[in-house]
Amino acid sequence: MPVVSNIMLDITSTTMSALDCQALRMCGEYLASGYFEVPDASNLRRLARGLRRHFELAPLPEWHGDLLYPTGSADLPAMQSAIRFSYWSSLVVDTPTLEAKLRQLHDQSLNQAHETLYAAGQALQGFYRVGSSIPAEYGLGGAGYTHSIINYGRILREGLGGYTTRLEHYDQSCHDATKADFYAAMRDVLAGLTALCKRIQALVETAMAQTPYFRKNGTRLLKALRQAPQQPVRSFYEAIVATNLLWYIDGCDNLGRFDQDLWPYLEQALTFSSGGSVPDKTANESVRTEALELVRMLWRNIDANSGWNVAIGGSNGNGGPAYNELTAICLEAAVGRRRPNLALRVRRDMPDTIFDRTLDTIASGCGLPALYNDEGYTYHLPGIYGDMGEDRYHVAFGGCTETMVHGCSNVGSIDGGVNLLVVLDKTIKAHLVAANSFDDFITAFLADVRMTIAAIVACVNTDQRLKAACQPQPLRTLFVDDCLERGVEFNAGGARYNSGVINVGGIANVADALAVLRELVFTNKVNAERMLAALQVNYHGYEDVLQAVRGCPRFGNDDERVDSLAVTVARETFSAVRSHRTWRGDTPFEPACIMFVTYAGAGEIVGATPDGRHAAEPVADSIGPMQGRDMHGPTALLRSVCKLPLQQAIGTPVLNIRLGREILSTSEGREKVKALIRAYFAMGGMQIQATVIDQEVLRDAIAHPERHADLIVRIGGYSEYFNNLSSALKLSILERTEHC
Amino acid sequence: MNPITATAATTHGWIFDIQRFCIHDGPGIRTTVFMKGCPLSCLWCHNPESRRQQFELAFYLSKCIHCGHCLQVCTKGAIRGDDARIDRERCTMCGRCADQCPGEALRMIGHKESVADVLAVVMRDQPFYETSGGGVTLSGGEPLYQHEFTHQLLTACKRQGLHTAIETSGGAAWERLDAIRSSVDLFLYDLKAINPEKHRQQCGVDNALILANAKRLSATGAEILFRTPIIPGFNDAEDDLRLLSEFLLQLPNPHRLELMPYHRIGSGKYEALGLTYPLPNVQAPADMDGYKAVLTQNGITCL
Repeated sequence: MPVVSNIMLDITSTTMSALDCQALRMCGEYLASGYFEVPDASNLRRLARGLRRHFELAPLPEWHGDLLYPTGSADLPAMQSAIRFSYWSSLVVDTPTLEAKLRQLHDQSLNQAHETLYAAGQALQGFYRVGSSIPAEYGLGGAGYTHSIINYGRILREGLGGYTTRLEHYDQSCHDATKADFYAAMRDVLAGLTALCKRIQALVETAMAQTPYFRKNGTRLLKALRQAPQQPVRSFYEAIVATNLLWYIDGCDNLGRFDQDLWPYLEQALTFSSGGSVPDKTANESVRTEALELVRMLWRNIDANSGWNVAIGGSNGNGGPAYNELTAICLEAAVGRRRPNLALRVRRDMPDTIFDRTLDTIASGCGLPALYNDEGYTYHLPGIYGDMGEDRYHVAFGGCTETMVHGCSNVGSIDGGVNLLVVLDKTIKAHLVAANSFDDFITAFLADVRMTIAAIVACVNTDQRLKAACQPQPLRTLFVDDCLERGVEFNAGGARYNSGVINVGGIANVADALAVLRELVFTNKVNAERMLAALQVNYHGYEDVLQAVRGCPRFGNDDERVDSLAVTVARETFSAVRSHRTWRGDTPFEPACIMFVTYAGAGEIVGATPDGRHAAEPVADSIGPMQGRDMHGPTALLRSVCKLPLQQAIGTPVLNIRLGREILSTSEGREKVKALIRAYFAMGGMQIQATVIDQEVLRDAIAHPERHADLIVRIGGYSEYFNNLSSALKLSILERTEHC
Repeated sequence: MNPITATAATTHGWIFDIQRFCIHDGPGIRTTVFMKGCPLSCLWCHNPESRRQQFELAFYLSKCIHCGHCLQVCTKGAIRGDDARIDRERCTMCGRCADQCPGEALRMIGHKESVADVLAVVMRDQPFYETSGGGVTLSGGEPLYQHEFTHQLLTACKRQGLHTAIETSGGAAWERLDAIRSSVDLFLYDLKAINPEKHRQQCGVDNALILANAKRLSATGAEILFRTPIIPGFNDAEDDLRLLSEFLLQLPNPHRLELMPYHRIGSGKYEALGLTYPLPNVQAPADMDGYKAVLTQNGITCL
């Protein structure tokens, strides 16, 4: 790879003297100062040294007297430097900050420092950026953003001390020069973390001395910080303190199986409070109340930093149910919250109390938690990774919902994606007029899909290789198993499970469009030239064509005529993605359908399409139907979706459904929602997220009824489509909801 | 083809809708089959399109894009340019305008379907019936109006092991009720007014048969949930509630009563069908608790 070696050359060619490093520190550029301290070492070691200096020297966010540290929107340590650590690209140069600093140094006539910082900026500006090898058109919903889950449970059990012990053990038993460099880097990270922990203790002590009011929480926090995370944690409080701290240090990403990692500590407290044998209800209640309060604080921190995923419930390592009181607390603490992105793994034997708690949280209008078919995921995950033993039960999610294994995987995130409507547009222009039959056309389209996916995969694998060469992740290498054991860096494939996620967008639009082409164009009701002309002018003046299009079957209505087309497109696309192997792990790619807010953007670049979609209109949301085209209620929608090979798109085939507030307000209605979800999973559904209708949607439904044909509201014990109501009733519902 | 399948394929009924995921007419998640034809003509009817056993042409002004296409399509001169759109004297229900209406503002309501075809739609949601304890509900209109079709559809559903419910006014010959009894798990039996005079005025027919059928059905031990729509100013006086309680208490078996608050959801349909809504000034009851309290005090188990 000539590209790789050029970039490496750019970085390593700049060497600096010890004096220069001192100057960088004076400029507040601790990461850069460390990076240039060991110019002859590997890139991993240079970054590890940078990280160590960052931990040792960078200013710390204030402590506000809370039971946790840090709290709120914060970086730990603070990132006031121009050259910064980032969990997704290792290192970023913030140009505006760099320029401001250079100006300041220039104004103060600090020429030596100015020169050094300028040189450092120049050297690192060329630092490889994640996803740069992936063109925008192949970056549907992401281009190699790196989510991961560090092994929180292990750090809590072993403490950093345990990591040091293991590191020394591995180091002594290997006699390989590159490995020695690797372990030296890990030692730097641990030294940095240890220093950081000491600095935090000092910070809390100082603040307590200055503000006596802080003493109550401070004494407790300090006691916990003296133990965790350096030594194995002993209590639930210490576990929360350590988890919060580590989560900030890791860059505010995912917690993974939080309720499993921390349950032993809470369980111990509950047992202890009841004297070990006879349950003491009052004592347990106060333990539970405090646990809930602490989890709420943690969730607030995650929300404040737009943090990501927490996967709860599901199976334990033996394949048994893993629901506990902490699972319930996690749900309760999420009421009304935007983040964390809570993912509940639903088993057939999930206790009803957990299901009720789940519906409470969903009904609060936050769209959380998303629900996952646990049997589906744990059964189909080995299809990507091969024999996984009990690890298949430790499935968790990163970011939105990228499927990974807790504490031991590098799946990146959405590495790239195929916008099927862009492909269809090309196939239509090249083949629609010439195609002899519908079968010929669909064959040509699927060939184009395969070709596009091959091109995307080539870019993604180049990117994975570049990340390995240029973007080591010292922290994740330390905390994601089995990098340390193997002596292999995280991005170079050190994790136990490696893959990549390729997103697929627009399945429903393509299915609808293909149905239109089959019913209208290949029956000559609307010939190919006329259809092309209509698309060209965005259907303007072709209202008759548009009308005929709307009369064609639509995906999402349990209609075999179009659902079968969606099945063909999904099956061929998913299997094309899975036929390629990742550079990082030599595993199949995980296909996904994750469109969240991106489905609007994906549509902006596409002209009018034969499904009746106008130019620049959004594409279908994830695995679901095009918005407003499902007209036969949720059961028909779920049946349509379940015909697709969802298990193949294990990177997560997301389905959004909207529920009326009222159905969740009665116990009878709730039982029906549960039954709906259980049936969806029994039919092979993999993931579903239900949101209750909010004000904005209702307002939009009044202004634009055509966009909301699927909106159901419940009035006085009856169900009715919102659009079928008179204007006065619509307004009355809007008013009523306002007071909820 | 065995004889039963042969009948299922050949017996047809007038249907105007099949709604999936119905959650208010019986236990669990249900599919409700709405059938056309009804001997009653209640003033508050919220399905006016169900009354006649024939096509209806509906026009939804709010969906009309005013393209004028229907004016050209109609060969009978039955489409006008105004907001009412349809000259119902001239219209022959040919359906051509509805077929070609781009905004689906014109719509034909009602179609004939075989027992087998309806059953196929109903069976699609079986996974949901299994997890919810749901099934099929026959509604209308009055399902007993097309009693042959209803009987066969219920028998076919029972053969598939589905939970079956029927919404009925009880306004049919006893033999019709008796015939379907063994295929029905739950009767949702409407009692609109006990006072015969009121019933005649408000529902267009005498209630003697309805009340007699209710007694006979109760005596068979059938599972019945009686339902009464509460129409303020019509059937919600103290006297009405007293008569209702007395009637229920003298039935051979105890049954629960569900009160259904009057609502105006159907009013838009009258407009669409070119009809005048008979209760322009009646408002939905603000609160059902008062009615429930009275009935409960009278010894009725009230939902």
